[in-house]
This record gives sequence, C-alpha cells and structure tokens, in this order.
Amino acid sequence: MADIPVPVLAVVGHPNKGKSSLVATLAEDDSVGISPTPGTTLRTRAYPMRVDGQLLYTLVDTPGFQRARQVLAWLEERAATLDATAADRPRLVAEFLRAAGHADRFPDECELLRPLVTGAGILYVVDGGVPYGPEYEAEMEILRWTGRPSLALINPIGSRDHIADWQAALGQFFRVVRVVDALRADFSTRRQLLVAFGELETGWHAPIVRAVEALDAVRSSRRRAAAREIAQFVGQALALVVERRMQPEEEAGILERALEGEYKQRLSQLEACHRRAVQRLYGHGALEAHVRELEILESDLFSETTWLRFGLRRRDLVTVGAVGGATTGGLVDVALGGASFLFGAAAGAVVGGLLGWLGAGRLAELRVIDRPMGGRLARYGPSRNANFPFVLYGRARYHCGLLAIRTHAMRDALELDVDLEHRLPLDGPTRRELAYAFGKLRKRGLDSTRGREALEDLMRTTDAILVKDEDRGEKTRSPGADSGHFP
Amino acid sequence: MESSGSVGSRAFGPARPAQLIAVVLGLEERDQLDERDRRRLDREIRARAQAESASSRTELLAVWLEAAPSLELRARIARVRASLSLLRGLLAFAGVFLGWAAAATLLRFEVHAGRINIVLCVALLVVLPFAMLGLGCVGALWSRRGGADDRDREGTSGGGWRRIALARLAMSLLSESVRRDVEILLGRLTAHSRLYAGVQRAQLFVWSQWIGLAFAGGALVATLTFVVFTDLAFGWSTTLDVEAANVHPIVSILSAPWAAVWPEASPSLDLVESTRHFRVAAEEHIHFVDPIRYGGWWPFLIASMLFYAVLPRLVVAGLGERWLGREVGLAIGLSPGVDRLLDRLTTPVVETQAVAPESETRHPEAGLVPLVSATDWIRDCGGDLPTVVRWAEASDDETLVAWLETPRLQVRDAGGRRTLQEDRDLVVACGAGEGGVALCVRAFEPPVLDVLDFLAALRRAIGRQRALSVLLVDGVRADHEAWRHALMGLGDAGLSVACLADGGARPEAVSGEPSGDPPVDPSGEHADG
Repeated sequence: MADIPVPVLAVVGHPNKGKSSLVATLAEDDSVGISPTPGTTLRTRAYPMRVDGQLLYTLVDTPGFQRARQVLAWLEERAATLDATAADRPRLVAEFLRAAGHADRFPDECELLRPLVTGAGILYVVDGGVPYGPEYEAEMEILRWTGRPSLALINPIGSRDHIADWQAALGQFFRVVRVVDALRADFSTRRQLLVAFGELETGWHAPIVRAVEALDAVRSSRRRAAAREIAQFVGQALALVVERRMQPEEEAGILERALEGEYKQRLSQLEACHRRAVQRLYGHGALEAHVRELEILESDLFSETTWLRFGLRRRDLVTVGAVGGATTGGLVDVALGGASFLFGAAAGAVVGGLLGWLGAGRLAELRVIDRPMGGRLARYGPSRNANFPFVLYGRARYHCGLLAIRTHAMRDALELDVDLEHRLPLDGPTRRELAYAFGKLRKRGLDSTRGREALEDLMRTTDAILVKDEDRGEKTRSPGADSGHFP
Repeated sequence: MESSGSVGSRAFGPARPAQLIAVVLGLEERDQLDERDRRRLDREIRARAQAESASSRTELLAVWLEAAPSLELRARIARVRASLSLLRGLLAFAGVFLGWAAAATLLRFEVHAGRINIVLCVALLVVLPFAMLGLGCVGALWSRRGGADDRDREGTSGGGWRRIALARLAMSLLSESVRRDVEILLGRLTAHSRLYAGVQRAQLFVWSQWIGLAFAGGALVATLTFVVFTDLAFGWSTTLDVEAANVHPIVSILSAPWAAVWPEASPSLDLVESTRHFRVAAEEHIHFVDPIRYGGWWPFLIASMLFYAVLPRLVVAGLGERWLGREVGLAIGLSPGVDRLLDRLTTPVVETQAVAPESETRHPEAGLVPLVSATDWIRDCGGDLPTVVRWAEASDDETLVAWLETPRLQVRDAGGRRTLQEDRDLVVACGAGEGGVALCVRAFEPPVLDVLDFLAALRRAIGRQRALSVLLVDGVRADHEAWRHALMGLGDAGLSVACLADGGARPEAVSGEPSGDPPVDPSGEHADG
C-alpha cells in the first residue's frame, strides 16, 4: 500500500454552507465546531481516516471564501503579466499563496487553497436551499484554476427549492455534482459519496474501496454490539427481583407498593445504563445530556400507552389466555367422554381470558417466602407478564434505531414521532421467535449454557431486525423525504 | 473485508479445560486495557491469523491464545496447566494406590483364613466398579439432558467449592500467585456458575473415570503381582444349599466374552465343584484336591477385571473426554467477553476523527448595528436622491424590483460578476453624488469580507455626513443578526441596517439594542463556517 497515493479531500466553499456539517457527518466527529454564525472556521482541520492504523484518506475542513473576486483578479492579472497559459494556472495559484502579504490579506483563501496546491481533491459545497448567485462564480473559477479533481455537493439546508438551478450552474464547472443533505445523510448516501471520491483521480479507487469496506464492517459490528446490548438488557430485566425482609407485623399489601416502586426504579436504572452503552457504541456519548429530553422514552415505562405502543395489545393477551384455558378445559371434556357438554372448554376459556386480562396490567407479583431460619422475605419479581419484554425490547429497539440514523452533525436532541405503533412493525414469525427467546431467557436466566444460547438467539434475531430497521430508516430519509425520522 | 459473520457457529471445536482457563485469564488481562488498545492489539493478532489462514472461530481463538497473553500471563497459564496435570497425576496415583490396596487386602492369603473368596474378589474388583460405572453414566446422561440445570444453580459453583473447608485449606497451601489465579478462576466460575456448570459436571465425570480406571489398573497389577509371586488359593463358599452346577452357568455367562480366545479363563464345572470350600471340613478336604487347582481361578479373575473394569472405564473415559471437550468448547463460545473478542478480531479499527483539536474560531462582533425599517430610511434621507447599490444582483423579487424602480432612486450594481474596477468606479461615482447610499444584499448569503471591503470603500468615498445603510433582502432573523454583527466590525457609527422583509418596505424587526445572545435557529438546522 505504500505506493498507493493517499487521497486528500478539501471541503471548500462559501461560508456557512454546511462544510463543517458535512465533515462532522463523514468523519463521525462530534468535536467539529458547527455554528450558525458564518465564517467561524479560521483554520483548516484534517480528519484522517485510518483502518488498522493505515491512512486511507484525509478529509480537510477549510474556512470559506471571503474575498474570492479579489483573489481571482490577482490571478488573472498575474496570468496576463506572465502571458501564462491554462497549464500555468495551478502554478499561479501556488504563487498566490507565496506572495507577500497574502497570508494577512487573504487568510481564509490561503488556508483553503493550501491543501489544494499540495494535491488535495476538491469537494465544493453549496446550499441548495437558497438561490444560485453570481458571487459563487469567482470561487468556482479559482477552484478550476487549481487544476485539482473536483466534486460539487449541493447541501439543501432547510429546503430543496433551488437544487435544479444549482445543478445547472455547477455542471458547468464540475464533472460530478451530487445532492447530499449533510445533516441527515444516511449511511448508504455517505458510502456512495465516498465511492464517488474514489473515482475522482487515478489511484484513489483502491484506498477508498478499502475504506468503504472497513466502514461496512464497522457498521455491521456496531449493529451486532447494539443487538447484544439490547438482548442483555431484556435478559437482565426479565431476571430482575427486589427483596426485603418483612417485619413480623408487616402486611404484604403495604410492602408491595414499596417493592414495586423499587422494582421500577431499578428497571429504569437498568434501561438508562443500557441506553448509555448503545449511545457509546454509536459514538454519541456526548448525547447523554440530551437523552432526558426523549419524551417517549422518558415517559413512564409502565404507562398503558407505552405498553400498547410497543407490546401486545390487551385484546391479544385475552385471546391467548382464552385459547389456553379452552384447550385445558377441553382435555377435561375429553376425559369425561363429552359428558360435560363442553362445559370444561367454556369455563377454561373464561378463566383463561380473565387471567389474561388481569395479567396484562400487572407487572410482577409479590411473593412472601418463609425463611428456614425464621422470618419472612418479600420478593417482588421477576415479571411474568407476557407484554413486559416486548415493551422493553420495543423501547430499546426504537432508541437504537434513532441512534443508527443520527449523524454527528446533528446537535439537537433526538426527535420522536408521536405515532410509533405502525413504525415498529414485527411480522408474526419474528414475534414468535422473540416470544420463544424471551421465554427461554425467563426460564434459564442469563448465566446458564441454555440461557446464553437463548441470548445468542435473541441477539441474532435482533441483529436481523435492526438491519431491517436501518433499511427502513434510510428509505424514509431518501431524497424527497424530509421527515428524517426513524424509521 | 472480513466480518465476524464468516466465523461460523457459536460453539468452538473440542477444547481442553486448560484452554478455557487460558481464555478466561487472557480476557481478564485484556480487560485491564482501554478499548482502543484492546482493539489495536487484537487487530495485530488478526493480521497474524490471516497470515496463518485462520478463519474459523476456533482457529482465530487458537491464534489469539498463542499471541495475546503477556509473558507473565503465559507463565501463569503454564502454572495452571502444570497444576491441572499434577492434579490428574495425584488422582491417578490415588486411584492406583486404592486399587492396589483393595486387591492386596482381598488377595492376602492366610492359611488360618482358609481360601480367598473368589466371589468377594469378583464382587469388589469387578461387579462393584462396573455398577459404579453404570451409575456414573446414568447420572451423566441425566445431567446432560438438562435436568440438573436448574438444580445446579447453587451447586458445583466456584463459590460452593470455596465454602468447602478442605478447599480453603488447599488454597492456603498455594503460593500467592497461584492462589490469585485460582481466585480469578473461581470468581469467574461463581459469577457464571450456571454457564460453567456443564464443564464442571463433565470434568468431574472425567476425573471420576480416570480414578476408576486407575483403581482398576492398580487392582489388576496387584492381582497379577500376587498371582506371580505368591501361591493364591481361591475358593467359594456359601451357607445356602447351592450346587456347583447352579454356579457354573453364572460363571460361564460372565466369561463368555473371552471364552473363545482364552479358554483357561473360563472356569470348568470341575473347577467350580472342586474349589467349593467348607471351613468345617477344611483339613480333610485339602488332602483330596491338588493345591494347584485352587489357583485355577486367577485367569478368570484377571479376565473379568480386564473386561468388566478396565476396558469399560477406558471407553467411558474416552467418551467423557469428548463430552468434556464439547462442553469446554461450548463454554468458551458462550463465555462473556468472547463474542466481543471475536468482534475485535474480525472488525477493523477505523479512525475517522480529527487528531488535532479544533483551532481558534472567529467570534462574531459584540453588539448589533441598529435595524431600521426601509420606509424610515427613505424618510431620513430627507428628499435627497438616494442611491441603491444592488450587490451581486440581489434579489429579483418583483416587489423589490418595483420599489427599486421608483424614480427617486438611482439603482446601481456591484459585486457578483462585476470586476473590481467596475466596483471602484461605482464607489467614485457614489462619492461624487449626493444623498444617502444603500447597499442592497441578499441576507441569506453571509457577510463576506468582499462586501465589507466594498462598504468600507463606500464610506470613505461618501464621507461621514451622508447616510450609509445596508438593505437586507430575504433571509430569516438569524441571517439578519449575522449581518448586523458583522457590520459592527466596520466600526461605522453612521451605518444602519434596514430590512426589506418579504420584498416590501415593511420593517421586519426594529431594534437598536444589541441582543447579546447569539442567534438561534429553532429548527436546529444551521450551516457552518
């Protein structure tokens, strides 16, 4: 690889057009300063992309053009003086950088042109949300003078009203013109952009392809790790138990409320811990302060609305209970040779349905255990509610989905749609697969061979679900779809 | 590019307990490093694995175990391996000793005791070990079916072991470093007792088979020794009314497996009859039978021991080793941390972030240039013919165009496609004229230095007495504030900013007070430098 040139791409353009946002998104770097105030970037900053320590390409964020017409005027005047040809133009740009006083007079232009003179490719960023203006022509002309391979990128900030005009104008200066929303660019868009970089110059293809493959591998790895976190979280929650020694005269009913509160608190802590872990996986560790603003995820874990949104409906639980009860009662009828006139099945269905109805709203049960050495122990949990793991799983999955499509240029809190039920679909086989894995985890716990196998199965199922979620999220955010929400 | 999807199923190939221990200790050592170093080191090992064409989980882990542990850890692992070998040796020695002792006790022939009871010998040296073997196998099969999975929650865990007084005593005898390793292992065993329960059961089963085998081997050797070096006299006795003809079929059935290849080891009816022993008639009886006949049982005893004690133990021990290997392989595959290790091995370390910290940034000027309405601005011009300079063909909005076509206004163009010389000429012309000058700019475009230079030149040309204003066209509040901040940098007290919102002469906001706060884009979407 030593012989292969390392591509360098300088992100240039007018001030305040999303250069730093693009760099933050491509480099997945939260430290990039993004400000609504134009012209805040004063110095170039390099973002080297290394795979196993090997440098594959470098992105360079630059200040915006400030005195483009004056620079172009100097270049044209110098070319006229020297009677220079088009072939001399890159040399003249280099001469511009060396000229006395230019570092003080044109600090921004010197900063942004320096990487181009040393061989960087050009990634010219404009805002497709505002009309094209003639003041950009001087910038594009200067870039053409550098003779470097270039790609223009239309970043629609806010609206996409003027993209066609920009495409027509940029097409005259740049061979490749792409439309990429720097703030919401999903993985496949970023991937396509990288591939386009690789086509800009001979010799750039191989390192860029390797970089893309590495990013693919990291994405899969990150998703697997997130799936593991989700599976472990659900497994731990299913095994959660709170206990307290009972005083001799203490009543179980009073203690139940206290234990239920403690149980919920421990569960919330477990979920918060899990969320932090997933955020770290996606490189959004700094988002921790904002997570509290997640209205849905911070809403009461045990609210009826949340249960319905993510889990089974109470109707389903009643149906399941009734069918189970009817089957059991039916066996009694068979044993009696039909003498009961199906009374067993009917009674079983009623009892089963009733239990399903009552159980749907019940988190866990309190058990009072007589201790061998005397005294009693009140134990709350683990939850046997069929809905419970589905709710936790749905919340974790939703949170993960939000993070998976979040770019590092976004500095606001995570946004949530209000109607999520239809956005987290699970087909029948997947739901059954999950129910089976939850059941095994419940029975075996996390720390047994079979429990670990169930955890692995759940992890695999979750990984497959997250793949679909990512695809769905990216389709929703494809050009033309402005919601930008998951999925 | 590699991915962990290529590394196969969750289980590893058969492995030795020492490998599980090495994995556990190796992961413990890795956990001491930060994530970045862990990834870097494991990726270096991956490069080595690729060179060795290792791709499956088992192969990858094998390469990792070879390369990952530090020298100190290697020494520790070697000590653990040696300890395991020593333990096996001790168990084997104990088995051999017990077998020898049992056989020696049974075969000790004393004249006053009569004959050596062949029934007792077979019962203790053949039938009992065979029955124990059967029970052990049934127990192992039952536990493998998972019946003991829940029972063993608190069972053979490391914590359980540590609670045994004997184990505590043994721990106190260990050296400091070995004790530390054992503590780590037992700690992990305690933390994941149910996960490793299968390994523990299989290991105990295997150890029991090797003890049984050593016992049978020791007994066999002892028997042979006694046969060769002493004059054994076997006999059988019973108080029951049992004839030799009834005993012989049992003996024949027992010796059926080897009767064809070793007929001498299958006792004849004559031998059974002649070696029946009655203590009461002992003195008389011995004169009627050749003493050699009393030793005739030894081939049967040896063959029985070989066939019913040694051989089954050997087979079961081999099967037990395979079971143990599978359990260890499964435990390695499911051990906490192994999946992460494999992920580190198979996923490249990608760094995309900036190495250098963010450099200094340009801060907006403090304060804001006062904003006035366009109508106020026209009124303030006091009837002079104001000049409006459109910068870079600012806005082709119809209303604005109509306003600019007011006969009182002189409209000029600058910036954009105009040359610097054209701009300079315009500045000179403005300086020569009268009345105020307004620069009409598109507010959504940032205030670049090119515009500010032009404004400064205009001010120099028209002097301080004449009004100079910037008319902001389009844009949102944040854009307007960005312009007003930037214009503060000119230090021009006479400069004002008027806003032509929506293309009309309607002031968008009038505020002479600096807001102080940076503009906030409520959408959270903003561009950058």
